[in-house]
Parts: sequence; C-alpha cells; structure tokens
Amino acid sequence: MSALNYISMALDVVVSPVGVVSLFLSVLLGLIFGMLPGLTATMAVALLTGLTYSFDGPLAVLILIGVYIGAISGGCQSAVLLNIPGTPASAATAVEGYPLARQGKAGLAIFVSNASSFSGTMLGIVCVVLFTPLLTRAALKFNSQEMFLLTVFGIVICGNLTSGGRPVKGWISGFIGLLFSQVGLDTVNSMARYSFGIINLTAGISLLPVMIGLFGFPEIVDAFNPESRTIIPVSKFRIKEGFAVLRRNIVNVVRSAILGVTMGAIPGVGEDTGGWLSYWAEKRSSKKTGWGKGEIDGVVSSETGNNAAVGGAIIPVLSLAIPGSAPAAVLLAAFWMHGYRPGPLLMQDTPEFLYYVVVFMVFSAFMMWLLASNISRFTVKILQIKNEILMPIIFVCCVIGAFVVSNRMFDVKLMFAFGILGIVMRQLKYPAAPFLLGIILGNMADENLRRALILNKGSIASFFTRPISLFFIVFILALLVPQFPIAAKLVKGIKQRRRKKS
Amino acid sequence: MAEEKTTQEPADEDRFAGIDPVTGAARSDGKEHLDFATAVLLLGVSIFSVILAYGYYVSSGKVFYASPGLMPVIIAGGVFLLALSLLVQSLKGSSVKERAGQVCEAIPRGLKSKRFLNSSAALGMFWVYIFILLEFLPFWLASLSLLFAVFAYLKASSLIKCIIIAGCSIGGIVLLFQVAFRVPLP
Amino acid sequence: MKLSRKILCAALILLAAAGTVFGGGRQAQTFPAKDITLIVPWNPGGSSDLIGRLLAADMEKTLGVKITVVNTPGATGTVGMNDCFLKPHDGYTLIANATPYTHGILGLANWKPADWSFLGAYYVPGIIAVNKNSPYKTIKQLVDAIAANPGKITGGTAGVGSSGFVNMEVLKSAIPELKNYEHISYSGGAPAVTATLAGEVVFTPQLSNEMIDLLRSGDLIALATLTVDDLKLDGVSYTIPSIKNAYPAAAKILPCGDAFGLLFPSDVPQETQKILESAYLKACQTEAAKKFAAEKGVVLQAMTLDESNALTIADAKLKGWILYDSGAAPKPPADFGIPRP
Repeated sequence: MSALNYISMALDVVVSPVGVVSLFLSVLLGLIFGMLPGLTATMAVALLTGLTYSFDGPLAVLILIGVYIGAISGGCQSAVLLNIPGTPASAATAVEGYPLARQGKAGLAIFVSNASSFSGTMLGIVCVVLFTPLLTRAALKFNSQEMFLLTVFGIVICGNLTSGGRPVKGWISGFIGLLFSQVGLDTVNSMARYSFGIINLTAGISLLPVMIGLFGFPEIVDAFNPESRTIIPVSKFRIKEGFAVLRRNIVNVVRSAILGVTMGAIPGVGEDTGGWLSYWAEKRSSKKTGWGKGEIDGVVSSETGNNAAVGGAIIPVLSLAIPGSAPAAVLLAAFWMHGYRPGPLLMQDTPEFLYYVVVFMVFSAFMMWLLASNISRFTVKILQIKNEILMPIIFVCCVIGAFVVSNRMFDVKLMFAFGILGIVMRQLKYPAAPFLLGIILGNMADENLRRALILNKGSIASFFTRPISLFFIVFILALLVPQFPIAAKLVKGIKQRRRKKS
Repeated sequence: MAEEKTTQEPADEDRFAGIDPVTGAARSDGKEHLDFATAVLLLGVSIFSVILAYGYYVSSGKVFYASPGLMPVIIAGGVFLLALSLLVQSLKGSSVKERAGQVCEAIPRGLKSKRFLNSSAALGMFWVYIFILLEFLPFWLASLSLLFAVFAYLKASSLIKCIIIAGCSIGGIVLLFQVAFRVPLP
Repeated sequence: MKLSRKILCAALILLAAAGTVFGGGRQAQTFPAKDITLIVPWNPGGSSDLIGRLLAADMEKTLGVKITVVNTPGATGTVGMNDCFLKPHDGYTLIANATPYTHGILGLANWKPADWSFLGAYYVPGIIAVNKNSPYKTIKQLVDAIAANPGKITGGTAGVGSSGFVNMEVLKSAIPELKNYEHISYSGGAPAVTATLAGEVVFTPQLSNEMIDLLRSGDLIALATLTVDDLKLDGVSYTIPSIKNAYPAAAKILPCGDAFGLLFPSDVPQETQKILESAYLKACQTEAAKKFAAEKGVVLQAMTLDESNALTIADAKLKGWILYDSGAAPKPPADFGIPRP
C-alpha cells in the first residue's frame, strides 16, 4: 500500500459523520479542559482514554489527538483572562497575555494565541513528517550529561523570566522550586528525602497542586480584596491587526516552533518547557521594552512553542515508543491499549498508523482554530463577570483538578499549602514561574547528574568531552557571565579601551 | 474600533515596579525590610536543608557524588548564596539594626491591614472546606456550602441569584465528572 | 439582610438533611452493589496499568458494575497501595500491581506480604539484553567481561527494588561473577531499556514486555532469559536460551521475573474474594487477554487466589532474603512474617 492509500484511509475516518462529530466534541472538550485551571491536558487525554477504551482504534486515536491538541491550546484563554494558566504549558502566556487583557486587549491576545497555537501545531506536524528519524537519533544522543545540562540551562534562564524586579528573586524562586522537587524518594537509591515520615510526601511533590496553588490562589484570594480590581471593558479589535502581528513575528514563530519541537522530542521535557523556552528566546532577541507589561510577541512565542511541542512529543512515541511529555505518555498507553505498536516496528507492522496520526493532527489543528476563535467570543465575556462570583467557582475547579491528578486528597492539601506560599510570593514580588520550572526540572537534574557521575566514577571530564555537552556548557556560561556586574564592567572596560585605541 | 478605557489601578503598577524605566537599574521600592526578613529566613532554610542532606549522605553509605545528598547540598548551597546576595542588597543604605526594627514594626501593621484580614478569611474558609467539609460530607454538599458561604461573605449578588449560580455550577461539575467521566470526586 | 441570612441557613440545613438521607444508609447487598475503583500505583502505560485495564474491561461485564481506573503513582507503588489499604477492606478498591513483597523490607510500608491477596494473571520473565552493536554475543561473554572488569560493565535497571534489580541480585547468589557489575538506576523500565539502546549502559536485565519491540526489530539482542525453559517470543526470530544452559547453578533460582495482576487486602470477606476471583478468571480466558500475551511477550498464567498467594510467599522467601543478605534491603523479611527458607 502506498502513502496515498494510507492517507485516504485516514481521511475516510475523519471525514465521516461520526468522525466529524467526534473531532468536534473532543477538541471542544480539550479546549474546555485546557481552559479550566486545574484540569490539564494529561488529565483530559487520560479521561478520554478510559472512555474510548471500547471504541474502534482509528476513531479513538482521532478523539485522543483532538483532545490533546485542544487542551494544550485552550490553556491560553484562562492564562490571558484570569492570570491562571489552564495548563502548565500556558504559564508563559499569562506573563504577557494578562497585562494585555488588563489593557483591554484580551480579544487581540486570544486571537493571536489561537493563531499561534495553530501555527505551532502545523509546524510541529511538518517536523513529525520530515524529521522523525533525525530527531529520534538526536534524542538518543541525549544521555545523562546532556539532560543534566539541559536542566541547568532551564534554571539559568529563570533570571530572565521575572517581569521587572531583580533577577536574584527569579533565581531564588527557581532554586526553592528545585529544593522542593527533592522531596520524596530519590530515583537512584530510593531513599526518602525531606519527607519527615509522611508516606504521601515520599511520593514527592507533584507539579499540578503546586501550579494551581502558586498561580491560582493569589488570583482567587484577590477576589476577597475588592479594592484591587476594576472591570475593564474589552475593546474590539480588527482581525487584520491580529494577522499583522503574526506577519511581523514570522521569525519568532519559526524559532519558537523549532524550540518547541525539540523540547517535545526530548523525553522528560515537554510542552511546559517548550512554551517557556520559546518565550525566553523571543524576549532575549527582542529589542522592545514593554516586556512584562503586555508584549504581544511574548504571547506568540509561548503559544507557538507549547503547541509545537505536541508534535515534538509525538515523534519519540512513534519511533521509539517513548513519550516526549506527560500527555504523550498517556497517548502512548492508549495506543498500546488499542493494539497499535508504535516504536521501531511501526513502519513494518502498522505503517498506516503514522499517516493516521499526521492526518488527525492536521484536522485537529483546524478544528481547534475554528472552535477556539468562536469560543473566545464567549470566554472574553468572562472578564465581565464579577470576580466575587467567578473566583469561588474557579476554586472548586482547582480543588477537583488537584484531586483528580493522582486521586489523593493529599494533593488538594498540598495545593492549599502552596497557595499560601503563592500569595506570600506574590506580595514579596517573587515570580512563580521559575519555581514551577524548578519543580519540573529538579528531579531530572538530580537523577542525571548522579548517573553521569556514577557512570564515570566521579569524574566530570565526560561533560567536556561529549560534543553536545560541551556546547551546552559554553552556551550556559555565555548566558550567565553577562548577568554578573563584575563581568559586565570588565567587558565594558575592554570595549572602552578598544574604542580609545581606534 | 471602540474606545479604549483603561484605568490603571495601583495594583498594576505594583506588579511591574522595581525597575527604573530610564536607567534600567533596580530601584528601591521601600520594601527592603521585607527582603531582609526573607533573606534571613532563606539562610535558615538553606542551612537546615544542608544539615539534613548531609545526614542523607552519611546514612546512604555511598560515595558523596553518588549519594542522595549531592543535589540537595548543591541546591541548598545555591539558595544560601542567593539569600546572601539578597541580604546584602537589602542592607544597602541601612544597617541590620534598622532593618530588623522596620520588620518588627511592619508585622503588627500588616496583621491589622484589611488585605491580610480579607485574605485570612478567604484562606480560613478554604481550609474548612478542604480539611473538614470534604472529609465528612459528600462532594456536592460541601461545595455548595462553600459557595454559599463565600458568596454571602463577599455579598456577591442577590440571594436568589447566588443559589441559582451555585446550584448550576456544582450541578454542572458533578454532571461532567461523576456522570459523564465516572471520575471519583474528592 | 437578616431575613435572607435566615433563608440561607434554612437552605443549608435542608441540604444537610438531604445529604444524610441520600448519602448514607444503603444496605449491604450482594457484592458488587456499587462501582469499583481500580488503583494503578504507577504511571499509565506501564505493565501494571495495561494489565489492570485489560482485566477491568472484561470484569466490568461479568460483575455488572463500572470499574474506574485511576493512576496514583509514587514511591515504587507504595502510595497507591497505601491508599487502598486505608480505604475500607470491602473489595470495592483494587490494586493492579506485581507480587507485593518488596515494600516492607525496603522500609517503604508496614504491611506484610500476607496482608494482600493476589491474583496473578501474567508472568513476565526477565531477559538480559544488550545493544545490537555490543561486542558480547553470548551470555558467557558478558559474564566473563563482568568478572574480568570489576565495576566497569554497567547494567541499567528501573531502580533499587525494581524487577531488573531484584533479578540481578538473585542471579548474583547463583552466579558469583555477576557481583562485579555496576548498577545504574533509571526512573523506570522504559528509560533503562532506552539507555541500553542508546549505549549509555552495556546491558539491561529488565522485563520482557519492556523490550519486546526492540527485540523484534533487532535493535536489542537478548542474550539469556530468566525462565526455566528456553523462550520463544512472538516475532523474535531466534529462541532465547535460558540462563541455566550456560550456568546450571542458576536453575535453582529460576524463574526470575514478576507476576502481574490484581491485589486487594487479604481480610476482604471470603465470598467477595471468590466473586472477584471468578470474574478475573473469566477475564483471563478472553481473546483480548491471549492477544496481549502474544503481543507483549508475556505468559498468560491466570493463577487462582491460592496459587497466587503461594507465589507471593515463595517469592518473598527466596528473593526477600537474598535482597536483605546482599544489603539492598534494610529490613529482614522475618519482620514481616517470612521466615528464612
């Protein structure tokens, strides 16, 4: 059978009435899940996996891909409108998107988010089709040393993620996040750390309760302080303006997509990191001064990045049966449940599967854009609802979200504790985003550093002899050094001397 | 294009303060005493963590670089250095005594502030919900109670509207999760 | 405001009354009278998860109630199992996992192996595999290399307490040369297998289903299997020799692997246990169950309650004491009701 045959088989599934309705419902559901703080993409895929267990294989795959893309894209709505990211992947969008909403530009921000999500998804699909073998080989080259340096890199960029204020607060936030990530059983020796005898703590601190607590609670509690909020009417925007933003940002979009796909393809990092890295990259290379106060380019970068990571995460699923991110892991499990065998035998045993996935992704992207644009007309009205009514309901959703992750009340209590921390941090102007990154990256850093050292009997020479490692080290130093005033003065001094000479 | 009515209230400026827009340098925001207090706290936390981490290293019986104590020591060490830097920054133009005095003054002031009282009320209600209501009551009842209590406290809307909104939202949630997805609720 | 406050209070009291009327007081009927929860104490996609969901899908039909599957990972399965233990022991909360003998001796939990009833559906053998570019073509070459280069030959497992790790510890007692291998931990079976594929470690002694596709594609070569007989897996072109062919001393500790299935506290009422057992046995007879075995390279055993519980005790005796004696487990199995064999 040729590629065209497979594509037409896939089209048969999508274009059928059952297919269209299923796609519509699943993307819609994904968007809603993405929008509601506390309900994540991973959860959405997991819930639908259970629901579609007895469905026909291709239909189930269509539904799951639809909900996955919908959920990752939907997070931007609550990030922009409420400053509470609907999923961790959209945390970066909130930084610029929310100030935009407070300036009355919510409509524009959401339009641009959706368009960027669409672009990111499509570019991600292109990479799946073209680069799967290449990226798979590259992902395999990422051994413990590279993974560790990747986490270091992630922490280093924390200093730049603060929206105003001093970088040191960003780093402190990041490091405290790292410290909290160490709670629980360590992966190498299974020794309980910082758990003080509480069994539930030995499982570690999961990401979602922390995210909801840090980002959500300050907003929710703000509703109890009525002076701090006024209702801002939403100004209409012309679609032309939205497209103009995108046209301006073509380089941004492409770069964010590449970074997103790469982060997705590396197992262990996923859409969350994809969004942040793209945001940071754009911020660094941008000459604009409005960062932190509503820079639309930031929204473009983070939404493109996190959606491109979806394609990226699916690449190792298809080629190695290794998930590139948490939702992709559930997707992989679902594939297995339906008898598909992603992995090295994919093209031999069930070659049509690849085409199914690609075609479904394309249609999901279009459906997502269609639905998201139409929903946003309603969701933007959420800004008009009094906080006093909205926030308590959001709180209940958060409680559910924290519970459903691992089915434990403990996570809800954890969310409460981190909520208090989040409120304090907000008061003291510590950014929450680096903390989140710290929790995400901490265990990865620990595991990989120790493994690299154990493999090399304590010598760090291997970090310098492996090419990718070395590249990372140089890059990280290049980022770090200018941050320190001494170094900056040195560089200035050298430049001045050179100018005097010439 | 409709007119843009933007009212920037103090809360927004608060969020973005800290950088002098002209020189780009961090400017004093009158809150250094809080930084001072945080720095001291963090120093304590990092030392505590290092001590515990050393204990993990010893009890694991492995070489240091392979022990579970490695990463916590590195991280806690980092926190220590960063807290020191924060401490130094907060002491610029002032002294330890002065800052400590400012902190002591600020505490009772803060405890009496409206913001603190409102936030505590909120957290109190949430605490009761999570730790007490959800343990003993079925989900829908606990959540309805919470919403009623919060709406009443915030004087959110007329009584009828409150009941309707609370009922609809909880009903919708229960419908979606328990019926449609069969997901256990807290 | 006063009147509306009164109404509010009245409403709350009415609700409370309604809650108690509808919430509690359903009489005990024949099991199962309500939905069952299956806790998988691992992330989705793993062996426990897939097997649990497979069995649940069919048992739903037999029992006539919905079985909701939830994932509660953490602490190598302890958190999820603890959650189940804390709920009423009435048979409405089940666990999908492997034989439960490691948690106590590793200091993770206080329960004994006898506190759990087990229904072992599948047996998953351990396989020692290397990268296709590896210089070691037979198990003897690998073992000789390990003996000759102490601490240099690395083996990747899913961590202390994982099947791969336990397999190696047990093998060490029969094949002393293996003592010199260097153990490298990963956060799961899949990363350990991937690391072998990527060449970061020399070999991996993990479970068959974790590497089955790579064995089929030839990216990984299986040097030996830890079953009593030679193993022929669907789709793998060669027969994997049992390790006892090269090392007869190993015969006494074979088979080395894990049995996966369903668990519930052993003090669940006997009649309920029997009902669960018969539904489970029916689920094991389905086409889907047999297909799973062939696809994943595992053995469908469908052991009864008694057989499974006996296996748990046998495993705990043999492997538990080996783990304790080698220093991998801090607590002796005797503390958990398992005397020395």
